Amino acid sequence: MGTAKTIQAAVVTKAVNGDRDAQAWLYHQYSKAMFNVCTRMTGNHSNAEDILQEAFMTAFKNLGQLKDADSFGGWLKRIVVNECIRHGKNGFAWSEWSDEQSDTLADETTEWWSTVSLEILHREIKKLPDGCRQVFVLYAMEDYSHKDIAADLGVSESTSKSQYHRARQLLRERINIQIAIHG
Amino acid sequence: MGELKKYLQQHKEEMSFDEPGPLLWEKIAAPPAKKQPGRLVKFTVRFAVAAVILVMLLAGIRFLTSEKTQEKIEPVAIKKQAPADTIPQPSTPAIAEIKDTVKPAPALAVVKAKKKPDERYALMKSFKESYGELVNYQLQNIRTTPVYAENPAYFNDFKTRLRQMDTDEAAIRTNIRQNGISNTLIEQLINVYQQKLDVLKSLQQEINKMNTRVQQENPADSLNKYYLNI
Repeated sequence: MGTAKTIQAAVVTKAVNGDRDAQAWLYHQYSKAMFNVCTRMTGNHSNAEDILQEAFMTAFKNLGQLKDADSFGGWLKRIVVNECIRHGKNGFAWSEWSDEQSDTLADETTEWWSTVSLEILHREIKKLPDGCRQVFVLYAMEDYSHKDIAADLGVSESTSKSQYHRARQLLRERINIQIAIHG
Repeated sequence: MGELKKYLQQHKEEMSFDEPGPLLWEKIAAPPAKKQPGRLVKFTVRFAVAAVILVMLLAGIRFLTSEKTQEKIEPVAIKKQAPADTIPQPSTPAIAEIKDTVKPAPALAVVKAKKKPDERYALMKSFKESYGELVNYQLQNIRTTPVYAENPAYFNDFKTRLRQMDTDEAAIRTNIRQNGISNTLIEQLINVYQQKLDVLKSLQQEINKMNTRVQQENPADSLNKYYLNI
């Protein structure tokens, strides 16, 4: 692990100076993980590719500002997530979500999410509607707080919470359908 | 932390099932300088198209106005030569006489000098009509194209640019009314029309691109469509 970090630090140092091979190494090292963040946030490959391209170009352009080369991954992830937020910010239609609907979540006794494969879970997250999908991914997977999500997406904290519950409810319903169909 | 969140956090790294396209790195790695030839070609093509349109317009105008110009020469020329109360009725032999004269009379020279602004006004009118038709045609295309993706606000930038160009066009026309026509103003007018056509073309391409993408990724019955009010 220590050696890997040393290699990464050396590669980042070379990439700062515009070395294409070093940049290619960083791209191949991180592109898949970052792309999956993008696909979950945007819900489709085409937009995800556009965002990933933009994010890597921004990262390489501003690589000189990165103080600790070992933290490249986290730094890149922030750029990617910010690009995803920027991309979708203006286009969300926030659907209403009532308190009664939220109450049904309290009944959860089974861990329905562990009854399906991670691949199905990943696929169903991508199919969630705009708005609630981004909130769900940011909160549950990227560990953002509702306060941060509200600030970044320009909504209230309660909207962020209700959209998270909506996403969770939809996910459960859709996964239950999947189980009913495929077993 | 909720159980679902905990579960997803634990398995986040394993949930990497998607892969970016193999050509994405090529796009990222392409140096910005490589874009320059593309722009140059685009500009050259645009320039060539503009030149062809201009030549065609000029040829058309010359063809349409050649007879009218000849008709106009005669009364002005005669006006200079004779008092107002003895002006003869316009007739073709009079034109022939003026044309056959070896040394043109000063009056004819005046007529020739005055022809220029007339031609330029005719040119401007012709631009307005021909470009206007093209612009309207393109606008009609866009208004009748169903849009399946994004919301109308996504296209606000195009609308703003078109509005700005309308304002620019109005300003040039006011300038022409106040200060008379000049080659510079005609050029400015052409530029505005060309920019309008470029913006409309880009908008149409953007809509087509977006529609194709959305139609490929979603079942047809789940698509909502709307029309741009532009």
